[in-house]
Amino acid sequence: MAPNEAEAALAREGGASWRAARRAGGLLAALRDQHLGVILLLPSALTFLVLLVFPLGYGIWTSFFQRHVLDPEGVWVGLGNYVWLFGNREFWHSLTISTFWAGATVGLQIVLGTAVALLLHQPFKGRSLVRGLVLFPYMMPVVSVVLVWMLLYNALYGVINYLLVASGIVGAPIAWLSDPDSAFWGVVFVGVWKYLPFVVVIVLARLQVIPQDLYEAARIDGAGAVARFLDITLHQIKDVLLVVALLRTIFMFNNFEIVFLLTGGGPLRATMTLPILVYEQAFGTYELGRGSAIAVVMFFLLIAVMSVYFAFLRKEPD
Amino acid sequence: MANVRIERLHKEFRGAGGIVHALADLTLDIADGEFISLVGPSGCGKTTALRIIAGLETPTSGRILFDGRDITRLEPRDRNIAMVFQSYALYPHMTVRQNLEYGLRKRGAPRDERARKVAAIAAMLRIEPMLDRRPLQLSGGQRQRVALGRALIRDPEVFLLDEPLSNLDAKLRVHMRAELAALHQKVRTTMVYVTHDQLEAMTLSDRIVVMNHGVMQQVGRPEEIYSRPANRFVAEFIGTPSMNMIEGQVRTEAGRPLFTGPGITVVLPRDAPQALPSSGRATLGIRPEHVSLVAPDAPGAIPARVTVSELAGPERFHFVAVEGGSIIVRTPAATVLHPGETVALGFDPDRLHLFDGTGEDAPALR
Ligand SMILES: Nc1ncnc2c1ncn2[C@@H]1O[C@H](COP(=O)(O)OP(=O)(O)OP(=O)(O)O)[C@@H](O)[C@H]1O
Ligand SMILES: [Mg+2]
Repeated sequence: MAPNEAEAALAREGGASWRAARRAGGLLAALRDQHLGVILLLPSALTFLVLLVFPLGYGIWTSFFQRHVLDPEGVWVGLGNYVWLFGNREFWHSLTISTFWAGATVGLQIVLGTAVALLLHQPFKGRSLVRGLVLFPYMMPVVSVVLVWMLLYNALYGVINYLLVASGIVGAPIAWLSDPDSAFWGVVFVGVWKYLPFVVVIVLARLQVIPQDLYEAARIDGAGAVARFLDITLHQIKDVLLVVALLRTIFMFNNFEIVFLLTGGGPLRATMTLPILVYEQAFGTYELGRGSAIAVVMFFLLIAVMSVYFAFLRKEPD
Repeated sequence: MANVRIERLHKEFRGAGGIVHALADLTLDIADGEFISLVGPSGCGKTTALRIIAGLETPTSGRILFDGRDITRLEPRDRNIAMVFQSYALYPHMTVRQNLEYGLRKRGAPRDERARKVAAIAAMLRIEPMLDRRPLQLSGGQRQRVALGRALIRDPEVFLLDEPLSNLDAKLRVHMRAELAALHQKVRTTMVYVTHDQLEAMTLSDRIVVMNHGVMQQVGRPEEIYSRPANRFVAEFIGTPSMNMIEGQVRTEAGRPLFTGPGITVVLPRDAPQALPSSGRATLGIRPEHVSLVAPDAPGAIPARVTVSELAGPERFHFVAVEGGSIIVRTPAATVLHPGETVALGFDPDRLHLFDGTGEDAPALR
C-alpha cells in the first residue's frame, strides 16, 4: 500500500512540475530570440553601467566645475579647467615625464622580459624552481617593494652604493632617488623590476606552444640560432608582445604608487607623472575639478593611443 | 645524390621514466637513387632513425655515411639533406614563395637564382597560383606540395619524408602517393620514407625495411617481404587482413613433415625444411587469399563455421571459426556465405608459411 501511495505522490508531483515547465516553456517561446538575448545581457550591462560608465561620467562632469573638497556644490566653469590645464607648464612637464616613464618601463619590460623568458625556456637543472622564483617581485606588495628598493638605493647604507664604491666604479655614493639626474631611472628600474614577471610568464607560455618542428625545419634549411630567433620565435611571439605592450602601457601610464612612494614626484618634479599631478591637484590643493580634468585628458590620451594601436594591428595581416 | 650507409646505429633516450631503446643495432645500405621505406608499428623507432639521418638527433653509438663520408656529427644544414615533416612545418608567417626559398636564402643564393628555382619547382608541383598565399590559406594537399617543394628546391642528396601523407584524407592520399612515385621517377634522389601505411610502402618503394621495437626485422623488395616474410612479426604486420596464424606441432610421419594444430592436420610439401623445430612447437601461417572453400569430403578439408562475412568492394572477407580459433578467408565478392553456415577449408600447400616457435620473433622455416 505505502509504496504505491509514494509512487502516486511522485507522479502527481512530477505532473505538476512538468506543467510548470510547460508554462515556463510557453513563456520563453513567447519571447523572441533577441528579447531573450537582451534579458540575458541585462545583468552584465547594468554592472558595466554602474561600475564603469557612472564613475567615468561623474569624473567628466566634475571636470566642468571649480570645486573644492569643502564645497561639494562647486561653480560651473565649463571648459575652464581645460583651458587652465593646456596653458599650464606643470601639465606639459608631467605629460612628458609620464610618456617617458611609460615608454621606458614598458620597453625595458618587453625586451628584458622576452630575454628572461627565452632563458627560462632552455632546459637546465632546477628550471622549475627558477621559474617559480621569477614570479617573486610580481607577488610582493608594492609597499614592500618600495621599502626594499629605498634601502638598496640609500646613499648612506644602501647595498648598491656600497658595491659601486667598493668596486671603485664611482668615487662617492650616489643619492639615487634624491638626485634629479638619476631619480627618473631609479624609479624606472623599480617599475621594470616589479612588473617584469608579468611579461616573462606570458611570453614563456607562448614560447612553449611554438611547434618544435618549425625550428627543425629551419635548422635543415640552414638557419643559425640568430636566424631562427628572428625568423621563427619573433614572429610567433609578436602577437602576444603587442598585446602585452598595450596592457603594460595602460597600466604603467596610470601607475601611481611606485613613483609616489619612492619619490613623491620629486626631486624638483623630476618624476612628477600625471597621476601624481592629479593627486596633488585633488588632494594637495583640493582642486577636484582640475584633478578631474587631468584624469579625463589621460583617459582620452590612452583611448587615442589604443585606437591608433588597434588600427595598426588590424592592418597587419595575420 | 648519394648512397647512405647506416652502421650499427643505437639510440637510447634517458628520461624520468628510465631508458628507452629506440633503435638497436640498425645496419642498412641505401643505394643512390633508391626509394626505401621504413615501416613498423607506432613507437618502433622509424622517426628516430630518420631524425638521426637528418642530424636532428645524435645517435648513442653508430655511424652514418653519405657516399663514404662520415657525417654522424655534422649539423643538419651541413648534410645536404631535405626533410618533409608529418605536420609539414611550413613557416606560418611566410608566403609560399618565401617558404620555398628560405633554404636558398639562408645559403646565400642570389635573387635571380632563387626566382628561377622557385618558378621551376612551382611549375613542377603545380602551385604557381598560390605563391603569394600563406600556408593557412592552403588546403592540406597544397600544403603538402609546398612542403615537398621546400625540400626539393635545394636539390638535396638525400630526401627524408616522415609520414608525409598521413594528414590527408583517403582520396587525396592515393593521389599524392601517385604524385610522389612520379616525382621520384623524375628527380631520382635517394629517398627515405617513413610510414605505417604498408600500402604506401608497398606501392612506392624499391625496398622496405620492417622494424619492431627498434630492431630491423627484414629488408627486401615489397614482393619479397610479402611472399617470404622472415619471421612471424613481418608475416602478420604486412598484409591486410593479416596472415592467419595457427599454433601447433610439427613432426615427421612416414617421411613427410606434418603440422598438427587444434583440429587441423596439414601435410607439408616435400620441400619443407629438413631441420624441423627442435621443440616441435611451430606456427603455421596462411594468407586469407590462399585459403579456399573446398568440398567437405576433400582430402585434408578443415571444417569451419562462418561467423561474419564482410563485403570489401570487389572481394569478400569471411571470418570462420575453426576448432583452434578464427580464420579469415578472402574470396571474390560473388561468393556469398551466411553466418552459421558450415564450410570446409583447404590451404594452398605452396603458400604455407611455417615459423619456428610461436613467439613474435619466430623465424620462418619456409
Ligand atoms: N625525445 C624522446 N625522448 C624520449 N623517448 C623518445 C623520444 N623520442 C622518441 N622516443 C621513444 O623512442 C621510441 C621510438 O620513437 P619513434 O618516434 O622513433 O617511433 P615511430 O616509429 O616514429 O612511431 P610513430 O609511428 O608513432 O611515429 C618510442 O618508444 C618513443 O617513445
Ligand atoms: Mg614517427
